[in-house]
Amino acid sequence: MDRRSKILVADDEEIMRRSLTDWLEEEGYSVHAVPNGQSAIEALAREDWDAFLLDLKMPDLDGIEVLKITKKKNPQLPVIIITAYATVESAVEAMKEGAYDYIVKPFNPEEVSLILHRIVEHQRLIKENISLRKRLAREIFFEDIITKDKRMKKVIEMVKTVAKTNSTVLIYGESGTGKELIARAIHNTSPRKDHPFVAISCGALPETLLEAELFGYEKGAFTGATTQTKGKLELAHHGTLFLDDIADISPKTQVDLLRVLQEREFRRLGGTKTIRIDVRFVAATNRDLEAEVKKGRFREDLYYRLKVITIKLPPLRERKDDIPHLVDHFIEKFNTEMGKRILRVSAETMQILLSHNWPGNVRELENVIEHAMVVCDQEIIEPKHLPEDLTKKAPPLKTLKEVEREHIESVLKACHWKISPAARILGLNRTTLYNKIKAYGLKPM
Amino acid sequence: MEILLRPVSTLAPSLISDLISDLDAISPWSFTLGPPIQNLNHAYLPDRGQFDADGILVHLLNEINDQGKVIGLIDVDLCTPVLSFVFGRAQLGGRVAVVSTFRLDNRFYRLKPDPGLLIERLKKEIIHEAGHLGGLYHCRNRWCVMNASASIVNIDLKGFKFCPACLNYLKERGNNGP
Ligand SMILES: Nc1ncnc2c1ncn2[C@@H]1O[C@H](COP(=O)(O)OP(=O)(O)OP(=O)(O)O)[C@@H](O)[C@H]1O
Ligand SMILES: [Zn+2]
Ligand SMILES: [Zn+2]
Repeated sequence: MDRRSKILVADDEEIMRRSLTDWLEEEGYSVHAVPNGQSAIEALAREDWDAFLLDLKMPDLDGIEVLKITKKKNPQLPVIIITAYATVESAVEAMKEGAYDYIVKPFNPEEVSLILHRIVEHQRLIKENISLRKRLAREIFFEDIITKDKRMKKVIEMVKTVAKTNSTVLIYGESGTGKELIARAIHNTSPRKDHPFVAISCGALPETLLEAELFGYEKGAFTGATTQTKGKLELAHHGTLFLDDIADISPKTQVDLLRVLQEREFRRLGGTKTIRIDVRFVAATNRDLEAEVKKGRFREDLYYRLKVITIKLPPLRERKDDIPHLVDHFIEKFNTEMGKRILRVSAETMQILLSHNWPGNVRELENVIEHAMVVCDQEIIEPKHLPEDLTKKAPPLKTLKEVEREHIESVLKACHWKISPAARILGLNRTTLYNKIKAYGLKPM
Repeated sequence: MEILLRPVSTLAPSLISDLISDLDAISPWSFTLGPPIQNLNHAYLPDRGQFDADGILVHLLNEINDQGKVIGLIDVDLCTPVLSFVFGRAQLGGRVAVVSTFRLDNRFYRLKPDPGLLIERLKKEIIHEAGHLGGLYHCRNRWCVMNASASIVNIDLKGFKFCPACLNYLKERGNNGP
């Protein structure tokens, strides 16, 4: 690991100094704690620090004074004000003087470790000269696909190796699993990266419109075709064409597309000139194409053309370990977009996110976080910030045992825990009921 | 290395015995059941309604006798002078540590009780504190048991295992068990 980050602590209470030092050392920081403002200023002059935790209330020099001196001598150093509930106003005052943040005693460990982590990370980025710009750039590479899931990682490894070739790739995955993301990553990793990536959603358009979009048209080809227009195929020349929802195209378009895939040439609607193209195709679907072939709804020859390399993206509910990572990722993304400073979701919120089924997969999660961040007016996202349908979800399915336990409990309650009437209602004998009460650990409350 | 577990008497004995056999299997140490902790009153902080983790460590240290290490298992809310709560606490590289079930229990988060999950969490936190006793700092690896567990979600995410770097550190210090 890199050098341990150095933190200076100034606090007049010995017990606070010791306790804070213990904890920060456990967190992996190197800590030096001083009891007053004067020694803090000396320490600041003597050495370089990564962060400064400053108690406002100290006997010799007032904390605000120490802050002012620090900011004058070392404007880059993040200063975090330590305060008690009673003196939060002076902490707010300190923020105006350039403090990075303030924390109220006793600290929430999660909050403080996040603040420190953010500071250290920020300084690392400055040092490594990674501009935020670059990190937020539109271009998607495989590194931008957030996942810890084994199956996803395997898919990514596989796609990385084929990205450089010209092979057609067929991506299976439910809606919102990241099919387009993968397609973009393929494009950006291929020799075609300096040419266009063009996407078309085949499911959204009726046959004639889709054909017009794909192949383009000559002036007068149909009513409304007032100018000559290039289609997506032409626009993607030397680049990549991403055909989303490929299972939805009509039999006629299937034939036309098959011809393009075989001959690498086509004509605009209403045109006579043959246009040659050099395009790499990536297609995606959320349906079982093979089944569609068997049912006669999708041409087998086209299917074989498309499925040269096939990958499957697992739905989010089958890789729930990814949820916390994606949540962090989207919080960071929307913090930048919305100019907010939201830290994280609360434990309770995370439990809700982890137990949701995510029929809309990562896109749904992204929308949920975006919604929450719009309505959230604090640093931590609580369940009340989530869209209603997430918190008001159907009760989880129960096992027979759970139902039995709850039913026995409710009958017992109704009978004021008198065993005989409860046993009669439940149709059990007293011994059996006693045994069940014991087994389920039921107690009158 | 031997680690003595000293539970408070209010923790179910069945929970403790399951715990010990599991811990032996999944950690580099050997765990045995020690005498129960009698009384935590000395560590109670009336103004916070919580128990001072450091006070409990001092108490355990006073009662320690042989060469081994001790981890206390308790079921009340723990804090330190600077932190509003902790799941557990250890002397870094020292001899005593404490873990509480209080915030590991689903009921604290107003969720359905889950005894199995509680044991899983408890095991992770015991191994985590034992790692501190072995001299380990917190680890940046999110899946490593030494990852800082500032929230219950972090605990649920990480595993029982030490990452290679942490394991190596323990080995170099002769902490890899008998
Ligand atoms: N692993 C991931 N890491 C980061 N962002 C992701 C990931 N997977 C999906 N996303 C984001 O989720 C959203 C949906 O992804 P994408 O559009 O690629 O899904 P799709 O499978 O093509 O959906 P559809 O089939 O509905 O068109 C996008 O905003 C994308 O950036
Ligand atoms: Zn720890
Ligand atoms: Zn580690």
